[in-house]
Amino acid sequence: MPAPDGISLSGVYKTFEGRGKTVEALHDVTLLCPPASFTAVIGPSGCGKSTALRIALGLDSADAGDVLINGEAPAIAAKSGKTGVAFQDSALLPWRNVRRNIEVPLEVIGLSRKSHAAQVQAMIELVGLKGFENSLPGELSGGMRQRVAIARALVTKPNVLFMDEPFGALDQILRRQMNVELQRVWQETGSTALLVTHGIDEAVFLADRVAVMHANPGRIVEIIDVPFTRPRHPDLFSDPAFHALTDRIASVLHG
Amino acid sequence: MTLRLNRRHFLGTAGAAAAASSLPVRAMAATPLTMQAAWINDAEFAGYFLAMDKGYYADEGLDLTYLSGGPDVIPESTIIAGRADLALTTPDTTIKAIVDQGAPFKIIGAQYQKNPIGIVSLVGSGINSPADLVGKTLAVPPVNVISVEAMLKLNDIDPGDVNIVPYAYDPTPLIKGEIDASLDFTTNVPYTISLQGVEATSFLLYDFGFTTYNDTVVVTEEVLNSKRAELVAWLRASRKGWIENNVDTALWPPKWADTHFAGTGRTIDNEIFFNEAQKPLMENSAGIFAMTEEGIAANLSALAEVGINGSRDMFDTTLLEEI
Amino acid sequence: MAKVPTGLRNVAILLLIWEIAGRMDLVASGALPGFSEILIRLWEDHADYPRHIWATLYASGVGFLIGNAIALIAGVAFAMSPTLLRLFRGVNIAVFALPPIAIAPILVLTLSGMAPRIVLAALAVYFVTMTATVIGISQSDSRASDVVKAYGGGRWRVLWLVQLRSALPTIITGFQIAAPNAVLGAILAEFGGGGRWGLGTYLLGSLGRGEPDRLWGIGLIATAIAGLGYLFFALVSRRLLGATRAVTLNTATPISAAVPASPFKRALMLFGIVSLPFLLWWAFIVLTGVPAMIAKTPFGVMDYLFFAKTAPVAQEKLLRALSETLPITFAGMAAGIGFAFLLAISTRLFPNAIRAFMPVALVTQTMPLVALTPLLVLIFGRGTSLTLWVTISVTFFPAFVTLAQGIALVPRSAQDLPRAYGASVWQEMRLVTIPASLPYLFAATRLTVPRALLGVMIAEWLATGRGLGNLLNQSRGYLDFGMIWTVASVSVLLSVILYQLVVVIERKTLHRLGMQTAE
Repeated sequence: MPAPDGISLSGVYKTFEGRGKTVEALHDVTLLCPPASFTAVIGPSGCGKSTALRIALGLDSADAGDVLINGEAPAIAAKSGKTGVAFQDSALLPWRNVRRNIEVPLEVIGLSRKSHAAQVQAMIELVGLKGFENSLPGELSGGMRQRVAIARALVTKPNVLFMDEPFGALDQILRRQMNVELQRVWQETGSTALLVTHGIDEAVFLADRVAVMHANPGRIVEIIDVPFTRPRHPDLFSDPAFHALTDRIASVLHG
Repeated sequence: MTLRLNRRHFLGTAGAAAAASSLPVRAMAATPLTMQAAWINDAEFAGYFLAMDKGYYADEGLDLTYLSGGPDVIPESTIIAGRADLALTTPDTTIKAIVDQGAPFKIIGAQYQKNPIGIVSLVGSGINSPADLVGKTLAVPPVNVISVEAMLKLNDIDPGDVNIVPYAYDPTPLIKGEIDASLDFTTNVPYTISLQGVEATSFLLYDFGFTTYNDTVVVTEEVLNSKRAELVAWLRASRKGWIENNVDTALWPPKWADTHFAGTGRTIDNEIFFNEAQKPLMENSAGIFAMTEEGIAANLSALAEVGINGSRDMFDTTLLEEI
Repeated sequence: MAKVPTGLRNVAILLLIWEIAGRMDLVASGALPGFSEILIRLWEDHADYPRHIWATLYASGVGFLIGNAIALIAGVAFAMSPTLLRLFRGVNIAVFALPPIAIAPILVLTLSGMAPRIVLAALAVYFVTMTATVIGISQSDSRASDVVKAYGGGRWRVLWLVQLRSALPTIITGFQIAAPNAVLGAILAEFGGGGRWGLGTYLLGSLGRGEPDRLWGIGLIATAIAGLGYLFFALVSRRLLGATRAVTLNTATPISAAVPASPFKRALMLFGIVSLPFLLWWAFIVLTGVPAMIAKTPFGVMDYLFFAKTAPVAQEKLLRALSETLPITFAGMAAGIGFAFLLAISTRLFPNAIRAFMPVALVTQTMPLVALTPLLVLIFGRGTSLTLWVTISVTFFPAFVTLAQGIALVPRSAQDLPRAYGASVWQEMRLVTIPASLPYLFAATRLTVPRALLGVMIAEWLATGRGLGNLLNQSRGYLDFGMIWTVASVSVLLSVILYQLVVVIERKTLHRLGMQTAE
């Protein structure tokens, strides 16, 4: 098995035709995520960060440029189960219980639910939802639903993990808790992670590198390394060095 | 699951109804024949019900299927479509269809020598002849508007002087005085109205110049050629049924309360009244279904008054001769 | 006081008023019997009912199943392929707009036995369920679909895992509305279709007896069956779906509309949209194998209307009927919408009075109009006012529901703004509520147009003896098969044209005001 190559976007362009308007969502975007690294993409709304992620997932196609996931085209990587994905606001199927929601990727890829039952159970326990296997999403709190979404993203043991503002709908306190949990879970799987977010502190807390984007046209203006050692603890949020870094990113973001 | 149950149940009831209406096939390999009636089941078709129940059709080697009618059922269209071999029709529409559209129809008999349709009104209204209708509101089923207009013209009345409105076979507007008169079967409606505690009177269109038959027996030329023997057999069996029915008009309707007359929403007393009232309209010295040369000529001349120009060859009296 | 459910209390009050009015012969010199008289009559007649009810249930049940099966398949196909949806636009509008009273005679001419009833019931459910399926699928959570797509799932996978199940509540709501439609469709075909069993047949046999209590009894039974169908699916929807609604709102915006095709392709599409209904009509005739004399193809109707030697007479008759029917249709449409609008606004001003009125309104929707018309004739006579009232009674309910929904959706904060400056209720209505519910007014108009024509034709057929309704009925009597098909096709065409007219005005107006159309 070849070494995983992580995520690579090089020279990606994408334009949308609106009603008489043309929006350049991505302009020469190049982003290389080494294997087992954690990259955060941050930017104002409309800067194309979600578009970049959708292209990396194969949900949209690029007008120009190359996108490789583990050295393969996004659609092929997706079908082989090498990618995992968590969207903003859990996106659970409301009529399926926790276990059946986590099984959705297995069903799509065509893996047997039976032979993966242990894996599904392991994911449920990993995100701390033991005992809630048969609950419907409507019976869970927002944080719990988000944990189901993370478990679902990890159930195929992906090499590459995409997250589009996975905690966007949660309040600040819950969000920080989830950040700590996500770090733990990600470290256990050793996958390459790409997180799209609009929270600077979340990006700095989780990522090895933060890519800052600007809008009109959507482009990466700077990639900033985050030097803090892992595992990072919640008290990092009050560290002066942490604040210095978030201030620097904020200035790039608004510059 | 529920559907299957419904369906089975339905087929069961339909089967029972069929068994009740077209009684046993006694003769081996009876020839199937289908008739389309002109209206829903009532005493108008008593003779056929009797012949079915007593096996007269089966005796003639016929396996008769009887189709009920209704306001949207055009009996003539059923025989054009080949879903029935013969139909009971009103002669004006049949002849108009032959003239206007070249429909291949032949009239082989006539149940009513005098058309039972007439003008029904309340006793106090003073409507006893066509002339009394001037300035009045008359409800007429749209099907019969030409007949009424013909009758008015024959009596030198401008149809424009009578306010003709659609009639939905409901006597309530007449009883409540919303209309002054209606066109209906005189064999039936006066009884219904009397039940509401009001006396009704009526006169036949026939008696005022609109000298037509009704419930004419109509077949297509194709059926006439291919099933001649069966048609004669049908006429023979039906005539037998009518003769027996007319002996005692109160005898048979009660027997059909749970079969032919079940669920029609009408009472048996009503059917007995009807059965008695229609008797004189069917009588002819030449027998039930007779079509005499004078009768045919009277029909043709009455219809000519409304611009329906039929001819003698639309009537085929040879089958009656074979009975 | 507050413990007594208001709905129940209002129904009780209404029944009491009904009873008094009926017993004292206050309405139409006694044509409206007291409620208890109807119940007594029902008991007397109870032996007659079972077989009639079975036949009606059978026809409407089979029609419901077939119509919904077709509607579901079509709805899925349309949701998957916008091209197909556009291509079938003509067919769908025609099915939605066709006046059942014009179609019933044609079905009776071409089909036999139970088939006309089943087809009419199926036609009555198709549009509702098809629309519900398309809307349900296309409004399903795009986020959940993205999850499936992100794992390489194709459109069928998305359909199977996400869209069908999430469309289920909408589809069941469709069934809910479709169930009474099926019953009414079956009864209408029974009324005119011959055969021995069925509530419509029973109604017909009873019409000639001048006994309003029987007619009302049959009407009540029909209403009860239709209402039970509605309730059944309401319960299914509650039991099945209570816990599984989406927990959060989807804030993701759908990707903008497809790029317009070339003029050639658009012209081709338009040709397809217009010709497809005629193609299906032609195929129906060929497949049923009914002789050309009674079953007319589109060419047959063209020939009858333009080339045959009787064409001038036919044209003259048709034009005269149209000139009688069209003005009253427009008036009826305006009256129906106006009535619904007043009612909808009144829900804001006098909520209690309207709530009391709703049970009556519901009954008028499920009561076979053929049973009600004799009563209406006694009250209103046979003139224009009768036609208007019949038209209002068939049009106002769906229009009212749509409008009331629109008014209820006006944001509270928008209403509060003028109120904060001391505006009266009327000023607030004029400034905010009415303009804000404009898209719903158009949606209501779209619903009303075909029904207005239906109402006018029913009144013409049963009471006034004028116009298209009467021409249709009379043509049946005269065996004028060409005219039967002509009137049926002209009335469908008329409905479609009027509907399309509203759509065009709606798009123009709402586009100018920067509003979205409401479904």
